[in-house]
Amino acid sequence: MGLLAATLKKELLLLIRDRVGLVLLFVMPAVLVTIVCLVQEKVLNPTTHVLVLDNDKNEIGKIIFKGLKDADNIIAVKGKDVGCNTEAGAKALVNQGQYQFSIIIPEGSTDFAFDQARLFALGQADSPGTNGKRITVYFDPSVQGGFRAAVLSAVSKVLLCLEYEIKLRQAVFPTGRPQDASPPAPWFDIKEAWATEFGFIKMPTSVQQNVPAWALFGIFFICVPLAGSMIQERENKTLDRLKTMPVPGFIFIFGKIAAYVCVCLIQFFFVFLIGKFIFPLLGLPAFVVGGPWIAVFIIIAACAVAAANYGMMLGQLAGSYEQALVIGPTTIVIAAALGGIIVPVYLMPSPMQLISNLSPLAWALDAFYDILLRGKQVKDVLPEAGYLILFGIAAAGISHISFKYKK
Amino acid sequence: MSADGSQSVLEVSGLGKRYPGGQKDVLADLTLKVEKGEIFGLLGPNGAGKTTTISILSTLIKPTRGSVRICGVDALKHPFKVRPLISLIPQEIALFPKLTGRENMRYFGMLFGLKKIELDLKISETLALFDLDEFADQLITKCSGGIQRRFNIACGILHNPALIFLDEPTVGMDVHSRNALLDRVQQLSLKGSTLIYTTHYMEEAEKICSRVLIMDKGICLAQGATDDLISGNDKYRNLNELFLKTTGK
Repeated sequence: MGLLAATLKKELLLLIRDRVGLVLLFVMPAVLVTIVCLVQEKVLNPTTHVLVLDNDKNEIGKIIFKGLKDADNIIAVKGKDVGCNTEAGAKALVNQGQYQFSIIIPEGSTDFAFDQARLFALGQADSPGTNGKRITVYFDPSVQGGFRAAVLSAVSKVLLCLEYEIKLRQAVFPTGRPQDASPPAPWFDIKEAWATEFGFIKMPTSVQQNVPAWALFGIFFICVPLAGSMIQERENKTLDRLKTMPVPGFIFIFGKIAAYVCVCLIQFFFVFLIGKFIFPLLGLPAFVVGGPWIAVFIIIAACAVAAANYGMMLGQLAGSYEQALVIGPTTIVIAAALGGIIVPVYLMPSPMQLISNLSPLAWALDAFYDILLRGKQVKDVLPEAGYLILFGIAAAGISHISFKYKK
Repeated sequence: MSADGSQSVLEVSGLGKRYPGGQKDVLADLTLKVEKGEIFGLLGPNGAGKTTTISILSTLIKPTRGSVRICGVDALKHPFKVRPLISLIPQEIALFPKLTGRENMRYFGMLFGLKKIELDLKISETLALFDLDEFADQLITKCSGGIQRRFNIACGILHNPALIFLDEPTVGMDVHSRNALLDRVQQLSLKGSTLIYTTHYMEEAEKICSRVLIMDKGICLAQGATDDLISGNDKYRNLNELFLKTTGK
């Protein structure tokens, strides 16, 4: 136990004093996760800023504003709250890119609607023609056609529902105007679900996707300094010297793996702290581990074991440090791309989703989805942890065979 | 025990090695005996088989045939029993460069089974022996080549090994550093350690080795007391001349 502790201490000291290695292990994932979260925030969590200029100042204006405000990913602002009281001003703000679109509700819209409804109830309704009220929607020129159509369709739906609602109320109360024109809760609602096998309770935000993803990427990157240290020990004959010591070889191997597993745990915690405390300062949502922490620990530890053994295999198989420096990062980037670190697996085409199952990073990230997005518990992540450990054992086996038979 | 009653630290008999897939032996029927306190020179040009010999004797690789006994223990059958008795000091600076000299000594000392108080004592003694006190807390990478070489040896002698394999320890050193190192190697011998010493510098071997073995292409060409070999029938002027004649190079 003392020798294992001495080896662990030695490895940790070597790691702490390797500044380039530390940058690779800590700064790289921290920078990557921050940049990618900032870049992807708009892609994975599009929020639309809407300016509502309510010249009606009555029921219809209130209902349209409420409808927009309650919609997902829409931030609705009243014109009067931002000092914009004219249509030209609203148009200018959209043109400047401050809002993706603005809705101009004309004055007297509610009175007009009730008058029309009353005439309808009395059987005297006629097409209002050019005397009808027009709601104008100004779009940012950069807004795509599909999005424009969706907004117009949503606004039309709200107006149509309102029209029928008011007509119905006027038919029931022909002599008086109802006090509350708000539509009742709908009888039917639409459940939105993803036609995939991922079983998410909710889709991941950019932070939920990227914090675990890039932390895992950083963990697997330990293969580079680990392989480097092994090659250095082999080339300067320290390994030969150690092999002539009266100490079983597993002490050196376990000591090295234990040190790197410790570093991986610290590395994940470091990225987690950035997600929790730095992201809110950058306008990103804070990273929160909603599921059990013990499940997170199990996955990170299993991932670290897999990565450390992969690093040892790389160190054993690579002929030189330069080779390891090329092969290590290349294989990790490929595994990361396949594993959904760069583009989430659920956004990949089906064949790629199938291939992604080969990447240990995909297993680890899927375990994080289990914890963060599927509401799963410790026992549910054990299979993924098992696959990662098996990967580590396989890598260790290959290292051992190579070590035994390499001249 | 040898005929004169002294104990052989190393007894090698009929040692041969052929690597898997190799066409010929890299080591053929090597037989030698080294007594306690000797500095035994293992000399030969590049590719002579010195490294293979040392690798086998230090339990790193297995021979194809032959036997090796170190302090009476069969090194091939019981490598773990032999390892506490030996120390391999490679030609390279086989240390952890991002640790200090003291940290390296502490780690290697622990691996050799030294406990805290004994280890502290041995580190102090060895630092003093090699004049390394002022460099003890410097990272190895920050030390000069000569100091690194001294630490390289210091880390290998903490446990008072009975047999030390010293592989070209003076490569790349300036004359002053080399002489200082050779003095310390001789001190180790005087303290009772036995050394197997390989070098390409014949004057160095002539100065410190009581006996030498000259080999080439895995075959022993000459073996005996250094002075006897030089002043034998052919009356060589020095070991260098003997070496060149013997190896034909």
